[in-house]
Amino acid sequence: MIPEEWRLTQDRADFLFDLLSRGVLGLFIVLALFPIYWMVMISLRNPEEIGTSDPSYFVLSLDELRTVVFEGDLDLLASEVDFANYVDMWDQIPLLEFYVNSLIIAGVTTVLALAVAILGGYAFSRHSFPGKRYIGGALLATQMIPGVLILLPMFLLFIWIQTETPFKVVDTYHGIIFVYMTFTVPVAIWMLRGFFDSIPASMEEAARVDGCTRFQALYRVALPMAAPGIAATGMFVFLTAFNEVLFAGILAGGEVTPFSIGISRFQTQQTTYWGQMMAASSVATIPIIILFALFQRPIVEGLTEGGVKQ
Amino acid sequence: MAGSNFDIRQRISAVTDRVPAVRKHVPSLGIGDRLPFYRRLSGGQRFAYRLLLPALAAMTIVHFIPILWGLTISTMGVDLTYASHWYDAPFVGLDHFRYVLGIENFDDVLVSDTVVGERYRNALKNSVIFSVGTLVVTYVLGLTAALVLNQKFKGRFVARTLLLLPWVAPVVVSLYVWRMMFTQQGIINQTLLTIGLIDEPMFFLIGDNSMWALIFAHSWTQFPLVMIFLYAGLQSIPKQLYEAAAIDGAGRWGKFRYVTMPQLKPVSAVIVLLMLLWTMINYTAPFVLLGGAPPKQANVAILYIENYAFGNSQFGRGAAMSVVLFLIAMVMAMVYYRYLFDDETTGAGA
Amino acid sequence: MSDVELDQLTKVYQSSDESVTAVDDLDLTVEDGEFLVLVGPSGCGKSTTLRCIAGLEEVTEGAIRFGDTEVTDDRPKDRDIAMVFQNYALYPHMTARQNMEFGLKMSTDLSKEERADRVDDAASTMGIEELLPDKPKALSGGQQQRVALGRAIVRDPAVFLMDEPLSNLDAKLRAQMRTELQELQQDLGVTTVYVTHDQTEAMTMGDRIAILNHGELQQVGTPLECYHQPANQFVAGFLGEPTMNFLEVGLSDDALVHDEFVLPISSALADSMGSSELVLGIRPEDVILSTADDAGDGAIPATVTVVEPMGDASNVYVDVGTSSVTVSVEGHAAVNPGDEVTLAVDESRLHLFDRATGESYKHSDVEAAALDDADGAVEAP
Repeated sequence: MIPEEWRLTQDRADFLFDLLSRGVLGLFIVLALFPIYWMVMISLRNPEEIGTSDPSYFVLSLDELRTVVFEGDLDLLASEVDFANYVDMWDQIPLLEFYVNSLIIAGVTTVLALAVAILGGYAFSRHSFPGKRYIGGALLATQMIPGVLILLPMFLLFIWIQTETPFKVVDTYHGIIFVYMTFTVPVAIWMLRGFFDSIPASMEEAARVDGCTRFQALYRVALPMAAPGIAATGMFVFLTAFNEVLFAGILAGGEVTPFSIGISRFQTQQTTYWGQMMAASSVATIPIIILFALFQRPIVEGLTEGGVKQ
Repeated sequence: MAGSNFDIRQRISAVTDRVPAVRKHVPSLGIGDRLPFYRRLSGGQRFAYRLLLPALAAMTIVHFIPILWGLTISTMGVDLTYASHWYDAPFVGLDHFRYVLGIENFDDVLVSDTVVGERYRNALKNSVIFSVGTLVVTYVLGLTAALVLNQKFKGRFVARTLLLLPWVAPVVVSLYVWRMMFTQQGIINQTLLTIGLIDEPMFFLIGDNSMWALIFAHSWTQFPLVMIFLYAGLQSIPKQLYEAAAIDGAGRWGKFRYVTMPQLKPVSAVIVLLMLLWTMINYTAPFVLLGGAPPKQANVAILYIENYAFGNSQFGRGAAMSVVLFLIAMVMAMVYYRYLFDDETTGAGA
Repeated sequence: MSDVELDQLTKVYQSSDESVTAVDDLDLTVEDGEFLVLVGPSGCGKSTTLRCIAGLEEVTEGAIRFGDTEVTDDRPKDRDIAMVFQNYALYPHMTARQNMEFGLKMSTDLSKEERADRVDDAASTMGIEELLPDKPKALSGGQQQRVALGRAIVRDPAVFLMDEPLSNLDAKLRAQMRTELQELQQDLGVTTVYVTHDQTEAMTMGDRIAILNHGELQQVGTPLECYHQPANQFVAGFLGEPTMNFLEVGLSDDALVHDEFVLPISSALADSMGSSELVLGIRPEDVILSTADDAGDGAIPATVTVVEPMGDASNVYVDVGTSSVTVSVEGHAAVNPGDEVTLAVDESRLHLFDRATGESYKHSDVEAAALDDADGAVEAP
């Protein structure tokens, strides 16, 4: 029935399978990239165009694209790409302030959390001590605590400190940073422990024989060796702090509002400034993607090793 | 190494009944020496405790005390009047729990009712749907992506990087992008209209579709994590297993069914648990996507609690709701672990 | 320079539900300038002992003294030791020079110039001057090994500790480094404790060797002492390749009785036995293989199972009843599997052990045997 040359040989089956898996891969890449692409795309559009029912997927139509590429008509490109959103967004909302707040909050959180988690992760990797299992279990258990359960007493505590003592904690950098630091420490310990595990313990032993105290062996030998892992963990902590909205919404308003909360102000009662919001989002996203591309190997390893090892 | 372990294990029985050796030499380390517990520790153990101290101190202040405190105020009538001096609030016992769970007394469960209780229970149900739905979507997407990535081809590293981007991009930003794409004039509606699948724009963020939109947008940000876990698991499967399976006559499906899936089980177990729990208590996705006035079909528990507790200054009742959510997450984790454990003891586990 | 004295050293690993004694009541003195090899099977406690000396493990009981100074509770940095690790433990983020200099920087007040001089000296001793600017990653295994040794000698410590330093090298390089390391130690005259599981290293390198098993010291002595006069069956079986043959025998009326043979022994020897349940030990090279039928008194009938030609010698495996016995024959062995042969042994070369305790009642009397100018004949008493 089936012509001879159509028969499914092993080679053909392999070829078809390869074709299929390339197709699926292509589909996934489109799925993964489209929202990011669309964000940049919308940010470059004229505000008036956005929200009209024109479903054009590119800044340029195909004809326009041909003109730009083959005839070098850069003016056409420039006329279609509109940077108005990138200019206007700073005036629409105090965006710069939000960025700076986010950088301060996430940056300081990262430094502090790393300092604490490096010590803890090292202890977990190198030593066995009474209660290790329980402390390890407690670290993991923090991962299933709903944020509100902590937020409510935290809020009452902050209010109490605010009203009954001379200290200020609500809407301050140090208040939210302290909370974030603690939230990120358990996962950071878990990740760093994996990185330290991959360094032979004889390194620090050699250092101790060479005249180091335990602590000197940690920061002079183990620390430099774990540097890629620490960078990866740092990025993880930074992203977690950068993206947090629950605690930020309640405990960090006013002067210290971070980007994750502030960005919502592009939505007003009347309208949503999608173009500007996407422009602001692009400004936040692109450096992070570049950073990730630089550190991705240790990040990926650090994430998976902790999980696979359990 | 194996030999030495074996040797040591053999020796344990011979040694355990001996009198535990008494330390003769105790290096002096200051005040801690006065504590009997501390004195028994070796230098390495003391060092480990000192290293862990900052982390434990911070976690005690921000995790352990607030949880106990949260449990406490869940039994107290803390509202706006008592916000700055919660300790003066009246003790109400389990009233909050009865109120939100709809339990009048413990003999007839779920009969009496309140509007808040009904909404809260609906939110709990939504949370479970959100968790399980996200788990299924992320696992299917993640596994497919991991399998495709596990083929050998040029540019695999680049492909892996690209597929990880949804997880790397700031979640808040990604979710706003999805929110924009889900609007009536958004690209999704425009595309569907152009293709002709629908005749008029659909509402994604209102009504029955909102849960799907929530699950899908959240899954988009999370599937790369599942993918990379499973990908690492795939990479660690010894090649010889596939060769042996091929010699035994297994085809592509046979290899997947009898080698890949069983070998992926331990990694899957971890990631499944993490996705369930993390989604259950995820606040960012519903908050950014649905905002302050979420549709009841997608109003998940954590969002409802936050809106209710802070919107109405009902801190005690909010704490009670949080405790219930926490218990559900715990029970889920425990049941799941029990299931895993049973599976392994019957020998089916990898 | 100083001697190292372990006084009733005990190390117990304690976890919540069990405790494991890794080193059990170990008394051992390493003389000043001596090269002592700690040897034993894995898990015997040799590495733990070394790590206790280094201060990397805390001692549960007992004392460690360097010369007259007790160092039991001193931190590693205060002990004036240098250690070479199995994986070399070179700091990957430092160059070879920085690796070698690190110990001087941490533990001495030497100026930068003095440190550089010391490193240069040590590097020329090891012949690694041109490797100094490289990082460990750029070095071969043998080169890393030299840098690791250089890092140890640059410190000019009182004691060298080496934890299987050669086991990561390939066979050829290992043999070369063995000689080199030994010469280096002799030149420097630094007290050295060397841990290995490899009996060739133990036999060839050590001034004395200490054999450990299950955390207990079995014997200390020169390599030849331990080989020819093992204190117990464990030592006898551990040293020597192929290993010593053991046959369970009973003692009755001036003869060793086995299911397959009766071996007469002198009554003086028989009287010196502390038990009648014995293990007969014979080194493969001490067994005399004969194809002659005229089995004399005390000859042991056997069947050849496998012949392994090694070139200069052959190993012949024979069955004596249900036990297997190895025989080393010089040159080519003129036997084939299946051949019926007879075995003979010289009484002076016999080892006898208590079957229950493994304690040695009689060891090979090499000197006496040499005087006898044994011609291989079995001498019936």
